[in-house]
Amino acid sequence: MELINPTSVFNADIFSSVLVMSQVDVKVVLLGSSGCGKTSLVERFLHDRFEERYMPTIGAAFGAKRVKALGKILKLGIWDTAGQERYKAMSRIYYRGAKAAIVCYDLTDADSFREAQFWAQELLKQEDACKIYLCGTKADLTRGPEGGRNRRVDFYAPTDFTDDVNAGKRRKPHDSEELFQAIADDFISNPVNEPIVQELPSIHVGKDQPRPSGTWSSVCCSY
Amino acid sequence: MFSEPDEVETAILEDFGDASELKRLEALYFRQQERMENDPKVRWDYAISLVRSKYMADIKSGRRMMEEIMADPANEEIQIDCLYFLSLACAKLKDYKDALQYVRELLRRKPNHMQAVQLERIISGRLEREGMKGMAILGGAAMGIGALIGLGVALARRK
Ligand SMILES: Nc1nc2c(ncn2[C@@H]2O[C@H](COP(=O)(O)OP(=O)(O)OP(=O)(O)O)[C@@H](O)[C@H]2O)c(=O)[nH]1
Ligand SMILES: [Mg+2]
Repeated sequence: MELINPTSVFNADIFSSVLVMSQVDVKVVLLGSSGCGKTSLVERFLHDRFEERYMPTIGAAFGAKRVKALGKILKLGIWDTAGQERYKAMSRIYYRGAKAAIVCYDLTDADSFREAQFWAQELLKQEDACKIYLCGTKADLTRGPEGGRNRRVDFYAPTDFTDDVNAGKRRKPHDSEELFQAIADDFISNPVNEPIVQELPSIHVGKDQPRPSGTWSSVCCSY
Repeated sequence: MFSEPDEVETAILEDFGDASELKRLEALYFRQQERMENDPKVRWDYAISLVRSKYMADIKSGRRMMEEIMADPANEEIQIDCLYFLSLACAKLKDYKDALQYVRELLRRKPNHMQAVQLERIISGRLEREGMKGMAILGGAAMGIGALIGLGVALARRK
């Protein structure tokens, strides 16, 4: 055991500075129906792992990660809400103050898309400053010769829909890493966030360009 | 040095619910009680709101309600959820020993449950830090006495 200076243990300043250090720069929230793959998406991004067994989220789970974007380093604080009905009221609280919301639906489940629509509309009404990223999950199940039959959400449904919500462009399928990277890039390049961005630590790379946001589909297990 | 609270710890333990939502659910719950109604959904929402409150008295009531919900055989399928909220409530009340018991029971039933693993780590860290603070107090007191004795000796010698 190392020696502790007893006075510093009780120094309130130390604790408050720790609190400041532990704050996140950008709040990201995940919303969507139960079992559609929100936690899998986050776990892939945070820890690069995939869990076959389904363990429903209780209330909301939290994780944080630093990302580099456009010459800056920022910390994303990610709230992964529970999709189960008994947490629906609670999930509404988690999007408050979020700068980005990943609204997920399962490409093989039409109901999950209807629920995604509900969340997107809710966000549009309640959270002006929150950018919406619509994300179709389990794309792996819709590929291959058998895959087409599994698809339950029309290919164009999300595009039609995102045009309403977020003037999104269709993009090719990609992984969760790219999605969170795009969120970070969008945040940095949004002039509204200028005051916050100025305070962020810089890195000397910064050649990458911001990407448009819009509709995403993700495969958690095959990347 | 003891480990510092990180952003995960702060986020989880200071994830306070909405005060007006708590008031609303409280009113709803007690109105139902008066009418001898008992909607399990209202009870559940109210219990969670209490656990997520900022105030110790609320969290204590929330803990009691969660214990009741968990003991109710009708709630078999939400036992895991109850264990999680019970552990969280105890952690917020700084009752780290009980918090650890609840989360370990959860992990016994659901090994590798990610939220439970995270909560267990937070609670263990807090316990460790508490222990170190305790030792620092003892150490500080011992040093204080030692210093006084030393001073006394020095003064005595000066004469
Ligand atoms: N094939 C396939 N399965 C997936 C994919 N993503 C998630 N799953 C599986 O779907 C199930 C549910 O995934 P979760 O990520 O826990 O779902 P969730 O949206 O967090 O669910 P709630 O916490 O209840 O809201 C798990 O069994 C995952 O293994 C995917 O991209 N492809
Ligand atoms: Mg989940």
